[in-house]
Amino acid sequence: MKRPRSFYTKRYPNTNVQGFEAVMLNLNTTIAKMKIASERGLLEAAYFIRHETEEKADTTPLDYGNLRASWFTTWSKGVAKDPLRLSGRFKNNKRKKLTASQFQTWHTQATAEASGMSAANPRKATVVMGYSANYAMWVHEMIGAEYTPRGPAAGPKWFEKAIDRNRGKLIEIIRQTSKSPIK
Amino acid sequence: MNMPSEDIRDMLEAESSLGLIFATNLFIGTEPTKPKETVTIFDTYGRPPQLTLGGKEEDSGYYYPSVQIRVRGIEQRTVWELINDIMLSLHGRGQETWNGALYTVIYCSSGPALLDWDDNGLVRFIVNFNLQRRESLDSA
Repeated sequence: MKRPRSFYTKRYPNTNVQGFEAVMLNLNTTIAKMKIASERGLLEAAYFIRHETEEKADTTPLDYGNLRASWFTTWSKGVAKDPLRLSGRFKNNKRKKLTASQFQTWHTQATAEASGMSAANPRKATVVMGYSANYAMWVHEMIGAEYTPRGPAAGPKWFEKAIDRNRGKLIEIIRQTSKSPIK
Repeated sequence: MNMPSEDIRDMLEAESSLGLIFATNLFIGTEPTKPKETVTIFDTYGRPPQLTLGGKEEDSGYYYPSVQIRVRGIEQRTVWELINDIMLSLHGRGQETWNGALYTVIYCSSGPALLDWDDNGLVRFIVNFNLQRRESLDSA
């Protein structure tokens, strides 16, 4: 599961995928041991993470809601449905002078790239989840930034935390939906 | 035990080649607006502490905190070199006691990455570390 490349702006550089290596290494190793990790299992795991990032602290920082709306999950058949039905619902950010259509453009580009990754190898189930907003990495890594109050609390590293604290659950979700789980 | 950021601060200060001095160009928790070139250490979330094999006892269990180090400066190349030196200095260290805490391993969890250019046009890089530590038995 990889986040797609973000897009360059003056303030928010194209930082590509950074972090998560340590978090994902053990998880991917365990998943690889399963003889067949079904796409459905991977999708269910991605849906679970989506819920976690919005329902348990720390949640996705929220201002206009565009970061939350930039969430996407792709699989071999393209972009998967957002279980929260918020994905793609962008709003104009007047303060940063970013239009909803700009967010939509990024979203389309990111999901196209991620869909290509998911469909690249039909013999290997690949699900990609992440955020298409170009500032997602900055918000994720910016310790000490102030966020609009919401409950439960929003905070940096929300995505990494959601994966890290649920590693066992993710393995179990994928295992239960796999055709031939490891014995 | 101290905050992990305090121990990391001491480790970085002890590395004279880095040229870092606390409260001059090395800070904890809050990134000051001046000077322009700063290194700031943040305590970030870690993993659950050990609960088995006596882990409930504060002086015998292992803790797994994390820190983020943010380096700010003028020249992108210089800032990257400094944060890379910091990464090389800390990554892979282990079996060291600092302020009564035994650090069994310190490792970089995500390498130096460009964060942004701040409101003053200064470039900022970050690097994250995972730590494993416990109360040093020698200090008991």
